[in-house]
Amino acid sequence: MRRLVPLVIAVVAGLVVLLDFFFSGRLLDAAGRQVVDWVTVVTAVALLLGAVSVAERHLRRVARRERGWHESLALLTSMLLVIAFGLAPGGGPSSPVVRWVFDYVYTPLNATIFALLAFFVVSAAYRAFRVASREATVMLFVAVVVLIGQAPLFASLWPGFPWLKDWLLQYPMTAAMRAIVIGVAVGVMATSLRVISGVDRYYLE
Amino acid sequence: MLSATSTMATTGLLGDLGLDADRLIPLVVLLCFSAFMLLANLMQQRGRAAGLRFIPGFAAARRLVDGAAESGVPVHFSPGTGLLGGRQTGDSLAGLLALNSVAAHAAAARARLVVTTPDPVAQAAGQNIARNAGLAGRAATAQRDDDTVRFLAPEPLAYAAGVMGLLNREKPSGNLMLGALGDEYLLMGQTAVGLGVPQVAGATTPEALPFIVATTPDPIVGEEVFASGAYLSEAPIYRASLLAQDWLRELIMAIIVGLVLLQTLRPG
Repeated sequence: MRRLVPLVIAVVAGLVVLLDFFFSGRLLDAAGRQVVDWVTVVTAVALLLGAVSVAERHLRRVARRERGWHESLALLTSMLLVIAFGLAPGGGPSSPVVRWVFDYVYTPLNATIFALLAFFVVSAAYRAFRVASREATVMLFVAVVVLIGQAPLFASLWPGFPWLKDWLLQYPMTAAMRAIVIGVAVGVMATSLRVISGVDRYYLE
Repeated sequence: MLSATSTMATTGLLGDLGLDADRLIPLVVLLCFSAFMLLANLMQQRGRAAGLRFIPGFAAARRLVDGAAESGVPVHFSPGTGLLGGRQTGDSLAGLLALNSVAAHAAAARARLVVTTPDPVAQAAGQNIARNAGLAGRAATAQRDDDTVRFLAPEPLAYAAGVMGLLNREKPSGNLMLGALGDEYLLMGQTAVGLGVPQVAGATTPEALPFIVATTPDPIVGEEVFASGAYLSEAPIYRASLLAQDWLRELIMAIIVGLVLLQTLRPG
């Protein structure tokens, strides 16, 4: 029973959304909308549980003075502060304080992490060059051609560089991307069908 | 004239059924695939299905888990940065399916596993998977649920920062990442490379694949991620599903080649 009820809910919800995608009808549309609304509610509750789980784990790390406990303390403090600002009278996600935190703390931190990618790309390219596997060599060669093709200096040396770059991007790369996307779409269909038909039930306890 | 009349008649019939005419082709593909699945399953039950080609990434994944069992140091697993309920639900389910197979293998080999996820819903599913495998929960040798399957942060970059911290702090014996991964993969993958942590990664998204090829000796590419059930757990249903996927891909390829030839050879 403990496995059967969640399984029936999963199968029925999956079928309703699938049928609603293909067919229209008053009852089906309403049922589909209802299931999507439930997903929003379930996700919100799960996010709350996730936040509790994060807080519990980091509290334990601070209490045990585990390695990196200072970082856990910083996480807990910032988490509590944002929650407190959000719950304060006149607060909420669009209150000036919470927006300030997002605009001047969260967004710059996110951008900083993203900016690290440039250095990681160089480091990964250097490693690929040293390892010199067949795939990595082809990838590096194409990357160099595309880089050269985008620089006006090289275009002035030989006008064929931009043409070669465009050809590589339009034909071999587009073909490979589409092949991957089609393969993945078929894989998604297989996985979803197994879940909707109740064959895959590994996610249930 | 005849063609226009028949198109109008078909559209009218579909409208009566409540079927959106734009979605007829996806429905036909889905029905075809369902038929392929049933046929492949039948063939599998009768022992007539073909064997699997060797994918080095899955063999390497098994070795990582075995290595974790020998060293006693846990292996890190990530089901990707996609969220269940979002656009990448299918990709994230593939990551969870891979986790199911890896967790079962880890439990059999008595290896420890640390799973991180950016999705609290996937965390709940992951904890069930870990409990079913005996890696977490009630079993005497098991770890705590939230030590085994950890929710880090819902944003991909924040999640990547969390994984980088975990790799630096806990230095796992291996790093396994399978699922929907974006550019942020490089932050995690290159950190593992820098620490000398052996890793296996596979992404369903083309953006991450160049980074994976640059940082992993045995990358798992695109649709191969969905084959984890067949390769890691060897359950018959996953082999049948893989066979049906191959048939559908071959059918799509044949249709594309046929249409290209028709278009090329069309007079005028």
